[in-house]
Amino acid sequence: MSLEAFKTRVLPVKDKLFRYTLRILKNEDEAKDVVQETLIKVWNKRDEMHAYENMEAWCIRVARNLALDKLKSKHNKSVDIDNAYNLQSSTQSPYSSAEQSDTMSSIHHFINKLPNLQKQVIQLRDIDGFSYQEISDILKQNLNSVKVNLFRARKQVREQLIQVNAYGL
Amino acid sequence: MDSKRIDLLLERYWNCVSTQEEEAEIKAYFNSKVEIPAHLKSTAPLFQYFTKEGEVKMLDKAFDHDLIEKLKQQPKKGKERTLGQSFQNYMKVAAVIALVIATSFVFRMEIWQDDKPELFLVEDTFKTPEEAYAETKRALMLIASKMNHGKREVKKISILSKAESKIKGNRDKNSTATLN
Repeated sequence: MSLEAFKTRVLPVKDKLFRYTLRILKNEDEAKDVVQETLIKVWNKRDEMHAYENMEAWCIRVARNLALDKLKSKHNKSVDIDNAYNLQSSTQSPYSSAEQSDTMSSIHHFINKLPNLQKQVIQLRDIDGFSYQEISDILKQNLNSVKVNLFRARKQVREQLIQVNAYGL
Repeated sequence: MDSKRIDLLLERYWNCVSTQEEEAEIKAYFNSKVEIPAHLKSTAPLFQYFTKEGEVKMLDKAFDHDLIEKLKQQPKKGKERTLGQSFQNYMKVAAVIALVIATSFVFRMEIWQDDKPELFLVEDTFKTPEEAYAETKRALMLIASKMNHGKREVKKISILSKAESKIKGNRDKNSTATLN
């Protein structure tokens, strides 16, 4: 694959990769680093690319592994990622600006608070629009587990959304 | 889209049985400028969020530029390297084959050497039975003479051991006498 072909075929995935890694890492700089690392890895393995049916899903899988490695090393440094995120939320959340509603910011927060697997499933399905099979391949989970996690994630977000609307919590 | 249709799609969505097309339909509905019924107003922000979040683009041209520069610096997968690698692999295979051949050759030699004495056994050493008898007799006589010589040496040792036991017996008698 030539560099030009890489630019047109692979590079556009960067935004999906960034959104996904940001959801896992909750840190913009780290997510950027992971996306860059992912794309370099993909470039170095461009000869194997034809073996993968779904290039996008393959890229996300590579990014996922790198992001989880980063998250592990972060945990080892005993960083409270939620607190770290909250401190930087004014620059990271796309819904923190004045024109975005509070409810949108709340939804962003609800999803970030979900267990890791549920968070990834809802991101991949409801935001990035992957099929259940693709999510199953990316996360290395069986289809049933993907659906169960998605069901729980949606239910949790829905319940919190109802609470916000009812009590303004 | 009527309210009943969207209610049905939402029910399917919450139960995780909706298709990707149906989910796209829900998103399109909530992002359109139609009047949303009161009972769906609380749900609308969720799908608006999904759509907006999917459109977030935070990696600019500077990111692309840095990345492309880094990609250019990556070591090229040249033909020489591939040939070198394949040559190494061929050498490995050749070494294994050579080892197998050498081992089987040594093994065969061992078997051949084991077979050899059997072949000699069936061969005759002497041409006539008389000659063989005389040679056997001579050999047995030699063994007998050597054995006799050996027996004489053993006799000397037995004298020594008898003397030793006698000395020991005398010592025991003396010690009991002193005790009494």
